[in-house]
Amino acid sequence: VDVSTGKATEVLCLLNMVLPSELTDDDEYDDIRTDIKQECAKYGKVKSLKIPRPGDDSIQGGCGKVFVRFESIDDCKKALNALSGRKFSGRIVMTSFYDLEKYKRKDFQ
Amino acid sequence: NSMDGAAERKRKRKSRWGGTEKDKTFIPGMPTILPSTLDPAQQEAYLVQFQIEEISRKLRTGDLGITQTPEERSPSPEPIYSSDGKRLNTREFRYRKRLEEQRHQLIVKMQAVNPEFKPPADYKPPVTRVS
Repeated sequence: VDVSTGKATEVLCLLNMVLPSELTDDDEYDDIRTDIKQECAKYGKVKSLKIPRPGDDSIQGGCGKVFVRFESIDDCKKALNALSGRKFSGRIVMTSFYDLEKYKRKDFQ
Repeated sequence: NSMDGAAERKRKRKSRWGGTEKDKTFIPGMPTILPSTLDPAQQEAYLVQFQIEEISRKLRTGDLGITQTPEERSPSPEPIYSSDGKRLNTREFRYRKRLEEQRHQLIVKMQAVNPEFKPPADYKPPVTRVS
């Protein structure tokens, strides 16, 4: 366990990438999903991707964040290090590991 | 099929990702990898502080995020000119104004949580607020 990152998991949380207002249009939402998925796939197999958006009642919280589940913790680590500090829509991307059980429960914070 | 539609649009618009793994942006003293042990309130406070620094940096360096591809920009508003014929609402002016407004909102948010918070030196609260 790395003290600076907390416990490593297979779920990556990306912060400071999207604003809730950018997620309301369906076309733009699809574009954003594609952009993120394609880039994450460079670091490992993406099992699933969740981008909570305003008005989606099946997901609790996490609006403005992006959650990516990789097949392995190692791939997630690679993505965490590689994507952190990159720019997305002109904003600096921040990364963090996210608890797998919370992700499965769709409990996003 | 909606995925084909998305792919079709994709070709006309470049990816939102900027830079490469070797070309990253760092703000001194503000790491971009966050410990997963932060509680939601701590994380939110850090994020707001980071965004204030990020916008301040854009305003300082003049790197306002104006896209070079005209098709990606929204339609320009009607020009407004000063009495000596200079355009007032230039693109640079509009981008700068928007960033200053965003930064102001973030600073207000930060001060609500932490009254001790010191805004950046170049920040001036807006003189008139029209609600």
